[in-house]
Amino acid sequence: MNIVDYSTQFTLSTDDIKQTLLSSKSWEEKYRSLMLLGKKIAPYPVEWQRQEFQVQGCESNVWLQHEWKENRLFLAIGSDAKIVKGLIALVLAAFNQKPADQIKDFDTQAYFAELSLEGQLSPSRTNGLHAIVTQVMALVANR
Amino acid sequence: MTIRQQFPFFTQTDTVYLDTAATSQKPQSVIDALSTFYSCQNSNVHRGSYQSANQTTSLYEQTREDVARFINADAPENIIWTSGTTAAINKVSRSLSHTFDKDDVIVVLGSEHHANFVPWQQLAATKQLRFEVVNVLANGDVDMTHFRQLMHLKPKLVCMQHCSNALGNIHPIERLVEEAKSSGAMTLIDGAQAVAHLAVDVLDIGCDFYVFSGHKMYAPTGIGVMYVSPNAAPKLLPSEFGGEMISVVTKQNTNFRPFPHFMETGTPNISGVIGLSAALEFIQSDEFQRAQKSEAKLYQYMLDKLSALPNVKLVGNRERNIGVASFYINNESNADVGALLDQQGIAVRVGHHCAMPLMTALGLAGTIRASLGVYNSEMDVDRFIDALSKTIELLDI
Repeated sequence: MNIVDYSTQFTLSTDDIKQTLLSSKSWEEKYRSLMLLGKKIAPYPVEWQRQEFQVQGCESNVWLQHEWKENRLFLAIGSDAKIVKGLIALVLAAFNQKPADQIKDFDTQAYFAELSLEGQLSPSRTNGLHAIVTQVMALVANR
Repeated sequence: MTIRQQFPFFTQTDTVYLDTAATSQKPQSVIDALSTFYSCQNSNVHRGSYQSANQTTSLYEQTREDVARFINADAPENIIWTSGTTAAINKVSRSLSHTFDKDDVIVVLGSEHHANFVPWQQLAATKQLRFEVVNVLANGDVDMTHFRQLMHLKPKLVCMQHCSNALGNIHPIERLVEEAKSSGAMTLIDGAQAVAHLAVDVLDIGCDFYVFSGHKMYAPTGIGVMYVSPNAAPKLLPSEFGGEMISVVTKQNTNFRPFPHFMETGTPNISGVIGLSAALEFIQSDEFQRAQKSEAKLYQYMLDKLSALPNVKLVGNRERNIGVASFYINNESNADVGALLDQQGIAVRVGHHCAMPLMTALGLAGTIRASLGVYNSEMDVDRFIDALSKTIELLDI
């Protein structure tokens, strides 16, 4: 399995995400939906669960790999926690297979605010979302 | 007024606070002591020639006497102020560093908090010492056979936690110290988790050093205690330099004041000491002592409820424990459990609890830790258990 093949299995758009999460009526339903979104990501291969791919600053294990192809960023992000996987689905919908400029211009803060999940983005949270987004932005900036 | 009503924190929030092992909430009397100090008594200690400075100094020194009595130390001169347990351990390590020669042995327990592990590992690396870690049993207790094997190495220093921060296990510290001493070792006990739950008697334990923090025993953060036995005191050298700890300073040389004065330099955490004084009074009150007695019952209540939940796996010695329930849920990530408990207003600690060697030895990534304080009630436990059941249900997708 290569990164590009793996990452193209994920097809949800930010509109799909919004539609799913904004229709939930309680926090329980929302977290359930979030975890179900996480299940839409193909299982992250065991052979990629290596320390060198680990994202620092997460309470759970998070691994991130990427590849640029035709100016698009192909992402493979895995975690062993269900809620974090859900948050990763949100990140993938926004950034996966997108061109550098589009990622740079994407208003991550507003996106998570619209989903009423802006609290999850805070650097003081240990879910790792902040670290994942920071790492993706760094990939674009350092390209 | 109930004990719980003495904690303003609980009038501001309906959070179920089960993280006392990380830090305790503060009673009104401690908060008032800090406020009174800064409003009415603020002055530096030991230096003033005026009344308020003298009053503050005597309150400050009186607390040293109170702490000495609290842990049954020989005399107030054996109590050194630090900023906390971690600072105390690091200070002992620097002040004793000169006594170690290449290949000397330092022993720590396998269940130590990193604060009583890493400083010794680092000292060993710097001075080419042998750093040995006692194996843990499956319940986190000390493997006595291995402990005794390591004592045959004639260690120079044995550093041990009184109680496990991650699991709550109470170690048989008197016996461990006795065996360490009979093999010729000095001993340091990390009492951070013990002081709020157990009556500590340093003479009875017989250790050379006993260190703890104020903030886990209802006092403010930033104040800690290092007890040094009369035997160990002559071995220490100054490790921090500045005002107060000197007798004469010239361009060429400095003479230090004798122990214990050379152990404290700079303006101390005066308000912290005064807050600690109020916390000691609180802990020694009849009311607290009565409430403390029901903690064991509440702990058992929590364990029974937890054991009844599906897939909950409890870790640690639940017979000898300071009120900590450490557990994980089969096939679920601790981070998920913590996040969903947080959603429901339950404050617990999730992760390795700064005891990675212990978690590795137990083959765990970490645990969820619910720890009790004197203010917790059955209602707290019920709300926690309800939230946990719901969490388990939600995670089952």
